[in-house]
Amino acid sequence: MKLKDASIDKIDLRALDYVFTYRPRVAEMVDSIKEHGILQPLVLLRKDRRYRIICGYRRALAARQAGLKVVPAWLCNEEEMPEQQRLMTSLHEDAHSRAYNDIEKAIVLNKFAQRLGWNSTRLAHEVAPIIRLPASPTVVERYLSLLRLDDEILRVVAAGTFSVDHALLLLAIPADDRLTVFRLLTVQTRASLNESREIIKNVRDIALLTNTSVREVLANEEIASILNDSSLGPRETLASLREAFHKKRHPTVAEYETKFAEAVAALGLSKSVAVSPPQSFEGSHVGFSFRASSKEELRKIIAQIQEKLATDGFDHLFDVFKL
Amino acid sequence: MSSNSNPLFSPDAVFVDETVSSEPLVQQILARLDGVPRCVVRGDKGLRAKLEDAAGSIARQKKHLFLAGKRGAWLKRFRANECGDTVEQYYLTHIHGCPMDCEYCYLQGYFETHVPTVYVELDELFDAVREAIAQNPEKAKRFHVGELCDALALDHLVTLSPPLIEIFGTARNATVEFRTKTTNVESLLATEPNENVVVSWTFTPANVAQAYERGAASVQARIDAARACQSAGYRVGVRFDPIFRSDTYDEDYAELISALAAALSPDRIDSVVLGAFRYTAEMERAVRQRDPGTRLFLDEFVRCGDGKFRYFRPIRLKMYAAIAQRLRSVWPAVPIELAMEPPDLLQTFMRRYAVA
Repeated sequence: MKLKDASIDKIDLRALDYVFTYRPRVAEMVDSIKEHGILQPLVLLRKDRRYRIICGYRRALAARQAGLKVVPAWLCNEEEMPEQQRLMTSLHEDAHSRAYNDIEKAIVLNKFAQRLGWNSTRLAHEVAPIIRLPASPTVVERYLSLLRLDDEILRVVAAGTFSVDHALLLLAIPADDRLTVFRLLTVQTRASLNESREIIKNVRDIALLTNTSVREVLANEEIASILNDSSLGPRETLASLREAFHKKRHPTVAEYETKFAEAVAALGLSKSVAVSPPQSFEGSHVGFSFRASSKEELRKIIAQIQEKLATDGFDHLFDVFKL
Repeated sequence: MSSNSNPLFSPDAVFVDETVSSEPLVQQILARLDGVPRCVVRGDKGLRAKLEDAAGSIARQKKHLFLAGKRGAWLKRFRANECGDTVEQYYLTHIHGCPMDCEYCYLQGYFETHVPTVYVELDELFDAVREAIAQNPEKAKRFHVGELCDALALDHLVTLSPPLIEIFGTARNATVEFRTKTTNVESLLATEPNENVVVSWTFTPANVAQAYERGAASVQARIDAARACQSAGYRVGVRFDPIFRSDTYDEDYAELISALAAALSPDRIDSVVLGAFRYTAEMERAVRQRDPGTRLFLDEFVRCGDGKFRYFRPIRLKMYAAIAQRLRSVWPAVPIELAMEPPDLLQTFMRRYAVA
């Protein structure tokens, strides 16, 4: 390799074979270059009388914006630096100078897979540790699949405001409907990871059950009225949506839950008494729990329960479980 | 219902663990698979290294066969509360996996590969079975052959059934159940039956079998095979497990029960077992990963105390009741049992449908 001044105009800034940067920001670097110039040379590959960037993509962009005509660069040809070495050189230089965001990690893995044909096991052992990922083929495959998502989603993952786990949930939604669901989970409801998991599963299953698209499920009159209700905050929208999806997805379960809730309400017990059905209505044992801060309070609760036992209110409650 | 036997399984490649390559059963199986490519590998790791990790490899793996050395127990015992009865229940672990590819199979996600694997030191298995039979002889025991595999899918290669039938012929208080979806009963029919042997079939309505049971014999072919076994002197088990809810399940089971009643003699039926479809979270993940559009989990399933998902209780009890009533109308005296249900539901059911 030779150190020379390379003409900026000869650098192909659209050839990103060895570039792992996602949506580079160079404004600060432009100012620095104007003041100090480029202190660390780029590494460029000579090809077809032009240069391809191996190391220094952001420096090249910033240098162009700063008005430089030439940049210092180590120049090599294909024989001097084989393909694998080019990728590794780029990777190691980045790894020493900055941390990758999650999308850039996915880009790194994808470039090694595409250009070298490495499978997820080899990527896990030879690349993942360098970019601070566990040496696991499963993790590698999860990161690779991130790149199937829309750019709007990738941007928030790269910014760290939407987790990788959250984003990967969206892969279960058909591509055409993905952004609609993404906006529902973020702007409209601010759903947590588990809440998102539940919503995505229910929406997808309702679409399959009704032979409709996810978009049509969300356009359903009841769902649309919740989404369009401007009086609701994100968490209230979320609660209403979850309930509506649950009723559509599990109508019999919801029917029994309603019957139980109505029977409990009809008893008119004080708020210090909690009545709960068995988990998933498996079994017939109803749970009762009291909260009392004095003997007198407890006596009142017990008296109220004894009074209700003389009516048929408890019969209605236990009848919910008669099969 | 058409009568289509499933063809005898013939793998497209046989892998042999180097530690058992000289075992007599290996030689016997390889001789029966003359012309099938074979490859000696070093243990499970060696097998996995040979398998491609491309998408869709499950179906391809199921066309292979692995002959391996056993590590771990040949017999395992069911937890008592899973069976809901006082009989000691064991299952044999001599084969892992199955060449059939039922969409609802609980073995998905069980093992590291999907290659049907035969553990070939069968003399050790027979010793373990004899030992278990001999322990606490006053206690009733049942041994299940088709828990981690189909009991008969590989019987033309492994020929396990004749020696097992012979062992149970002299057993006191112990029965063995071969559970299958195949028509591979030649070895059974060539063996003298005894009262301690039950050959059972999983029966589903024809539309369910066609939708979900890839590679299994048709329902009518299974009924024909069950009739042949009854005629040869075997007791037969009828297993409606899994049961799926559909708009037509009641009529579908009416038709199935009618076909069974026409073919089988009730006094040679060991029992009917009903089991509504259930699954683990791991299985759901595996099936959805393979087929994101699967309709298998679209009904109203809830998570139960044991972590498995089952139909919401009122739904499944209604299905059990409907099917049990139809069974009682044709077989008033055949015992009906439920599979993998909690004790309180078993009691509710048995109060209504126990044999008088």
